[in-house]
Amino acid sequence: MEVSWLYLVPLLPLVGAAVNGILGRWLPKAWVYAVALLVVALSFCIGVFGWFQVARLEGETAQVRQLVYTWLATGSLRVDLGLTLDRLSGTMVLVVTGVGFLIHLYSVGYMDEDPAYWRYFSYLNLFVSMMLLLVLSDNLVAMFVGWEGVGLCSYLLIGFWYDDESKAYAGRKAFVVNRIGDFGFLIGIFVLYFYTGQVSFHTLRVAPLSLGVASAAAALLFVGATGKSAQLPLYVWLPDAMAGPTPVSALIHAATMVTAGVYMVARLSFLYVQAPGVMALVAVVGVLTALMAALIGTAQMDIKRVLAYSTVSQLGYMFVGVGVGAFAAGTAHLITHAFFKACLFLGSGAVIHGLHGEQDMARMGGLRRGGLQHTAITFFIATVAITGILPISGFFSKDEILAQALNTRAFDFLTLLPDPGSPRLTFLGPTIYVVGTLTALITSFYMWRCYLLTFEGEYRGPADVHPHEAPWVMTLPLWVLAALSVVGALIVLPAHDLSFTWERFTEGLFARPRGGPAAERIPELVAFGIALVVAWMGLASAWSLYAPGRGLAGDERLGRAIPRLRTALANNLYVDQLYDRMVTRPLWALARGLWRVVDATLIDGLLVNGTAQLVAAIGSVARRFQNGDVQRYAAVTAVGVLILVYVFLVRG
Amino acid sequence: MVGPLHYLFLAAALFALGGIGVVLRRNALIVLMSIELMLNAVNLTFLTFSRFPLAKSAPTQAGFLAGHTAAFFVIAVAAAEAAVGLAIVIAIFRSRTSVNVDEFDTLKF
Amino acid sequence: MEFFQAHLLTFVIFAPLLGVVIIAFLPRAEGGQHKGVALLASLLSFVLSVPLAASFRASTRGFSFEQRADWAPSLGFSYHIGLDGVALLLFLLTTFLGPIVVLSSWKYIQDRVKLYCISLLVLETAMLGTFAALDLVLFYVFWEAMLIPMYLLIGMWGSERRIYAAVKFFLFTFVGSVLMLVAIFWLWSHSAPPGQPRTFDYAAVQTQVAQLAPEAQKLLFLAFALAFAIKVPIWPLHTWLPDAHTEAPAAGSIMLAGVMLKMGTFGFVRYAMPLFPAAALHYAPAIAALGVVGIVYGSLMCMAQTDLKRLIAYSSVAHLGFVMLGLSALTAEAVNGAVLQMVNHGISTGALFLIIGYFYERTHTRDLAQYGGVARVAPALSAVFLVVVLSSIGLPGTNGFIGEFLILIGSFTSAQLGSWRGMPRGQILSVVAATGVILGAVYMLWMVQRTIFGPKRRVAEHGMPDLTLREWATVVPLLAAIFLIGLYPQPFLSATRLPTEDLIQRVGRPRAARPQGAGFQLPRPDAPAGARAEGER
Repeated sequence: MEVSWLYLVPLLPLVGAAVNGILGRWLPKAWVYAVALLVVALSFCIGVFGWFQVARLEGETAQVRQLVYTWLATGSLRVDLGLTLDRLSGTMVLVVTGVGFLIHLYSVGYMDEDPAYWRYFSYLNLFVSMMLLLVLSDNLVAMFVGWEGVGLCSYLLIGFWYDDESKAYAGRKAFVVNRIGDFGFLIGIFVLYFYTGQVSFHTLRVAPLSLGVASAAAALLFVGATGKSAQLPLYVWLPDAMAGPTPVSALIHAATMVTAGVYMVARLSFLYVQAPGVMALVAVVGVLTALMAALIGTAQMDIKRVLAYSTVSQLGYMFVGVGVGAFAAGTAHLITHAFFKACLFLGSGAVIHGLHGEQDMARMGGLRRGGLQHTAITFFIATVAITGILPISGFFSKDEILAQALNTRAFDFLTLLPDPGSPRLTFLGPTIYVVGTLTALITSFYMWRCYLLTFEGEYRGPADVHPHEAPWVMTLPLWVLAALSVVGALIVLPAHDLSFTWERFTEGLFARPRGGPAAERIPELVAFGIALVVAWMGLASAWSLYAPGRGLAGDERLGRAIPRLRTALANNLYVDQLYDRMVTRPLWALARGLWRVVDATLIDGLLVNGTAQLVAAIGSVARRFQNGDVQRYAAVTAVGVLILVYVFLVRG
Repeated sequence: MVGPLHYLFLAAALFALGGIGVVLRRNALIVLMSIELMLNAVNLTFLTFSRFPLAKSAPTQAGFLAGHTAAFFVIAVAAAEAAVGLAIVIAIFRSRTSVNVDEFDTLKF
Repeated sequence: MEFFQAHLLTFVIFAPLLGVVIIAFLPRAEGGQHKGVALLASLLSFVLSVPLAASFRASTRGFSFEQRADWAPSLGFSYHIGLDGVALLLFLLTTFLGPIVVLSSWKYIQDRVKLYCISLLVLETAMLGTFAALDLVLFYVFWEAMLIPMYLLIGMWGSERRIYAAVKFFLFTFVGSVLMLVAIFWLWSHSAPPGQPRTFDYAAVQTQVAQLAPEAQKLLFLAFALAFAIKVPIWPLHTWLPDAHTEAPAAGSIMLAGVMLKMGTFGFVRYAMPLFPAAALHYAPAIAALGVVGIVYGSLMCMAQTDLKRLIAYSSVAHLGFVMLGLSALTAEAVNGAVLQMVNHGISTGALFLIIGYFYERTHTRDLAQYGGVARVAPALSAVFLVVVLSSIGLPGTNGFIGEFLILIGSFTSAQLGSWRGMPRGQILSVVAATGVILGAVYMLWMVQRTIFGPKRRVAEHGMPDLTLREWATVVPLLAAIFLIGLYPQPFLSATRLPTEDLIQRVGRPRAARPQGAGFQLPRPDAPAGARAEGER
């Protein structure tokens, strides 16, 4: 269905960003807040309107479209700025603008004392605009515009306090690592264009693609996803991104931007089901990332870093979901994760705010009774959600992914090696299930460690810091998000005949993987049971080490038991150092070496200046003929004349 | 019998002596005199060919006045050149108190 | 009025010379008057070029605004000018940058202002003439006429090593040009069947050249290509550029980077490739490869620099490597993208040099180690700097993205470059070139961090004046252009559509076979979705 108002959704926040960016310094504070909040709220309302439109329509036509204008048309390439709001993107719009609005509101409190608040809100609005463009675009190139746009905003916001060299560096690192992923994304676009002449989703959907082409394109686009969504091997920017203001971490690095990769894979489900090998790769990368990040998260002391690694880990789950063909489950987890992770991050922000900048959990403790009740309770609810000890949203969405991984048949016909006689990958799904369940155990452990260390026990901080609760602009979003974390369970209930579940809602939207519908290897209730048991085991182990009153003794016990592993995890498994030594330093050394050897010495020195010096040398030899002795000149002239006479008279 | 060859050999010898003088002598005045010698040798050659023409027939006995005319031109030019050359030598002598050609080497790079 | 309209192009080209004449008669002492006249003359040129652009019809094949007047009929050259889409864009770029350049050096140049203004205006006229010339001698005259003012600009108002840089620039580019002159004479001598009068006219030469032997074509192409390759500059003939840029005054750098480097690429598009199509096709893979080497090498060089202007100079090498790749790929997307990227580079890199010129005016150093924390003391200047840097690294929404994207996608899909060990060369080159996207972010953001972010270092210690009104007046048009082209590039792309189509048709192989299993046609509606095509890749 063609409409003419869809462009307002990404445009309004862009206008807000422009107004606040250009005039914000001179506008009254209230106006800046009003503009920033209003544009997001308006986009949300329009999004709701559109969402209801597509909820009413059925099947293939459940779409609201607008072709804003033709951006590029040359040769056979035609890229329109086209927007499509269907059930998937419509819900994403609601998540982005809804959670975005809550975080904008929260930022009003959090950034109140910062002198550059107007710049902050401008960037935040710009981010929302770009994210909406990413989600709504109907072709790969427009999506790439939004893709890079959110990367830009991430750079600007991480390095928001740019006086600090390390924060500015963190922003730069994020942008560069993202760009490496973008490189893959671009090549993926090129491959698709080369073989189909199309970049728009609804034409690519029906274009014939060979296995090789689909696999190459899918893999390359996935490289882009690993960059944007912080998976192996390009996740290293996310923990450092915590240098930005906490609401930024909540919005960009938890709820929305990092989910862009998952969204892209889900959007392109029709492409990925044609490349089952790549799907296997996606799922394996996802589960390995989930496991690794969870392990690292157990050894972090900075509360934001714990949450950052938790995000990486949960994103891994989402990729497992879309990798095994359960696109609905993966995107459902995306939505529920947005709720509880944003709540967690905002809660940590309230803690940091209440402790005047303290982020180290070693100096926290006992905050629930120590003045941050609202924060503690909402944080508790969100932790319940993410660990899944009670059947609220996180439990169901995560469990659904693992169940789908266990039961999937998408890999049944894949073989380990190209040789047809090698073993089939039917074991891959169950293996992922086992690893994922183990990761859930670890997730439960580190999240409860985080909660217990922060909010329970005795306060370990300096005496002159008195924790105080955040203002209502900050606690209200916390409560809303906590409520959504609970209520969100409704959309992910596993009952398959309920009409309001996500799975039903997105029926027909995602392609089905080859191999047929999922088998049921373990009965559903057993799987639930295992998930619950695992979550409680995590809680129990966390309790045994970090129960109120034990303080940091748990960390010390672990440190004595597995010292080397513990320090390795605390140092992020030395991945940053590895990259530094293998990539960064050699690259800079190469640059300097080339500069000195090739440019300065070889080309400029030898060839260019060398030629000049050769000419000068010849000149200095030749110039000895002209020594000023006029008689010699006369003699030479005479000889010359004689020669000429000889030539003309004798030789003719 | 004194024929043209005698005159030509004389002229050639005078020319060669003059040329060597131009190239080898150090005194600027001697160089100018050598140039005069060369010009006179050329005059002699002109007159020789005037007197002993190459072609068998001539319009008039005085038809080969071309050589004589040329000699007059050469004498006039030689006089002018001697005047100018001596003026230059005097000017240089005023500033450098020397007429040694080896010392006038500024016409270079 | 009719006369005026009919000869508009000539007026635009020579309007700056009018300014030169007026300035020449002004007494030397008055500084402001000279600059005012120069500004007016370049503004006049720009204002006159607007109706020119407005009346351009993208749908006409061949040249518009043609004018012809006899100059030396017996020798075969005439005053013949005209513009096609490609030339028009570069022409407008020049008139656009002209007033900005004059305005930007208002405060900085204090001595010998008269000569400075004259040099700028003569330079502008020479550049405009080069783009508009349709006669080989006229082209050569304008081409060489650019060298003297540029040499003066660098040599007289530059920095410490200005003499070395100016001489190097002059000799380096001149060497290529004289070879091109020889080639021009050769073309003249073969420009007509025996008995007919020989001519230097572009159209006549173009038709006659088709009958040249392939060996002769190759040599002539190389002669022309050498001159243009030095100007672009293509690796490894690039070493004059860093020195020229580092030592030149800001206005010189802007003109140099903004327009003069495009002369080289324009020369390829207008002269080297269409006149010698077989040779151009033969050498296209080599040129594309050198372009890609330039991209990677230039980017790496940028990472090793400690001098701000030298860094941007090397980034020019990288950007123009993209353009050469695009031109050699000979697909519609790539060539259109390359032409657009010429304009984009002029705007972005011109703006970069403008901002860095403003930095230099305030700090008198180009050494990166002295910079830091400028955003704290001069926020507007830093913000503009950041925007321009983002345009330079090709952020979508800015002009740089359009050009880079089109070039990359066009070369990826190019079938004109042959193959190497089974893989199409276009794909390999495009992938390597795309790493330039990553490297660009690396060095540019590193530079940004060093200059404007981080703690305050020496230059920012005592504060720094932010942008003045005059400086804003130079910056705003460039920013507007960056976003206009980035968001609405279609008018520019349609202007160049026909000339690039002609070029590709002339030079390129006829549509090579598509790879197996791919098709640009959508399947018939009854075919099942996602069906496998025949044959594996």
